[in-house]
Amino acid sequence: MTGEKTVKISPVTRLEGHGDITIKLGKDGKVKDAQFNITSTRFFEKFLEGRFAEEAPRFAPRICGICPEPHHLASVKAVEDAWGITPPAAAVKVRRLLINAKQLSSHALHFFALAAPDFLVGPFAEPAKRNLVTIVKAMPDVGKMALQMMQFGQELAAAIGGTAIHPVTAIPGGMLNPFSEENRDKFLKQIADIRQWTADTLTLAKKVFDDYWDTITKLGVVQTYYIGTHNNGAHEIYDGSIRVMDPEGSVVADIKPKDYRKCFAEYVPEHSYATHVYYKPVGYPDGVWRAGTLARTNVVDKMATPLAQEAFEEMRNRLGHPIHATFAYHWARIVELVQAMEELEILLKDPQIVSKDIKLSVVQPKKGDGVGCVEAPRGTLIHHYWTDEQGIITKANMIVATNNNVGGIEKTLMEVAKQVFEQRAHQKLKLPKPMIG
Amino acid sequence: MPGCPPTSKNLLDALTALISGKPFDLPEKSVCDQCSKVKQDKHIKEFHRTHEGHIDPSKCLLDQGYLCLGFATIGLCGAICPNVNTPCKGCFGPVIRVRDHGAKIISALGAVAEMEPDKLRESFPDPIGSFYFTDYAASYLSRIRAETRRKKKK
Ligand code: SF4
Ligand code: SF4
Repeated sequence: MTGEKTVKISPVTRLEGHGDITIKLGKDGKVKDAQFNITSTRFFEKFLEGRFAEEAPRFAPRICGICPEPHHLASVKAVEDAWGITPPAAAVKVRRLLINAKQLSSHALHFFALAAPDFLVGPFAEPAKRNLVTIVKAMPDVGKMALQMMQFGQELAAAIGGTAIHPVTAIPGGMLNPFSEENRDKFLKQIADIRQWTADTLTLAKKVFDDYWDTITKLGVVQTYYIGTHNNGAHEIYDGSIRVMDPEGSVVADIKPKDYRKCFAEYVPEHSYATHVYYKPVGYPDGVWRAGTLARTNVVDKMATPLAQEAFEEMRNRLGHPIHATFAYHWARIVELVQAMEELEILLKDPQIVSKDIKLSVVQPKKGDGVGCVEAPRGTLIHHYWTDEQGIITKANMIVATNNNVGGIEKTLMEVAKQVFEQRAHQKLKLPKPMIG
Repeated sequence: MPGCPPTSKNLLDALTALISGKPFDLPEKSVCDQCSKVKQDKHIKEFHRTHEGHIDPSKCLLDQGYLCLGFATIGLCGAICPNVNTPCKGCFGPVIRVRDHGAKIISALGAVAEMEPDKLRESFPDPIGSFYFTDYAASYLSRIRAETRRKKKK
């Protein structure tokens, strides 16, 4: 065997943010280390200090250009929790509409633009061909559907938040702007199309999963803990309790977000700027968990809407429970896409969605601390702020989806690196003839 | 290209100019020029924080005492925030030819706020967050302070 070797992928593309992958191979050809390096720091927790807490929902979305809505909402919920405020029911509905609009567009974007090119064009096709443009050219109907779904979600988010990237309207005590009847009618008109496209996406995705069954069930199957939000056992993304599930599939913790520090602990690695969050009672690295689509569908008992429930049952029937197959993240993503569509339809048809009673008149800042938790498309997101009597932030702690996933990503990376470099497993997989030749 | 982030229209305009080789000039306008709210002469007696009370959707937010920075901010976004009843925080940066966004805002407030200087100062305990939302690092003030820090170290 030759000497030691380092395989570096820098930068990792199809990623919001900055990251590298480093794999170290020993003289014997064995994988010694697999790292996912987050290569930039953001300092958001520090520069929120000293700001008016009600303005935090304007600062916080800047953390992520793909998922500003979850940050906007986790932030406003943290302030409301600190100040002991309950926003009007109609405001909560508008916020749910906002987060589901984001869920729909983000999941469509992730599936079609980030994941599908590898499956449809083939994992060994020329990298320059593996992108959404190829799909649009070769499968114009699919490309059009993908773009229209993303557009619908982004436009609906903009109608509520003012702009899809970095929304502005959520404020402690409610929303600054009502959702207009005009907008409601405009988006309701498109719902039948969205329903159809979601169904078509599910059909396409299931074909992809059948085609790649060997890959899904053999490559990157990694046992971890899982974390996600539920409401009485049902899948939930805006407001609920947090469940932690062990690798055997037992719920080992079920907590209110306010108590997150009972379960969450952060490991600070040498090779990355992002902390690795893990299940505190078990320790690091055994307590590493994963968050996001697959984790959420693992920890819940059921989906919240009927079509999503059907898709969920099919996934569980075929892959079991809990599902450790990393590629099943895509399947879970489509299950959630279906739920987002159904939630949007229910909310748009709710007469209260256009209510003008969306903001409390009196909102009083106070000294205290509050936790805001939502499910971002890529995982559980927590904002925790401390405020003084004037309502100025004195301290902030944020645990973003990335923190909840890096430990799991590295574990998966280690497994896949061993499979690829030690066992050449990727050459033995049964692969279909790519849909796009 | 200013903006956090620039709008799709801004990008389309800039790319079109780039591809066709035409110059892309930044507008002279401010966000106020793009905003449809009814404006009056400004006599601000008191400032409210954004979570306080209810914003009247038909009237200028600044006239109502909410710190809307449209007057000092370059008009490229189409008045996104005031359009949804939310104060502009100046995320596109200052109007053209102004180098220090916050200084411009503070000097303008001095002219429109009919308040004792002390009361005005008390209204904004966090000048950086209120007046330099996205561009403190580019301001004269930040450079002056960095300079002072450097001198102290020496
Ligand atoms: S201050 Fe704000 S609300 Fe008033 S005109 Fe300017 S942009 Fe519009
Ligand atoms: S903060 Fe001001 S400049 Fe930025 S999008 Fe809103 S209105 Fe436009």
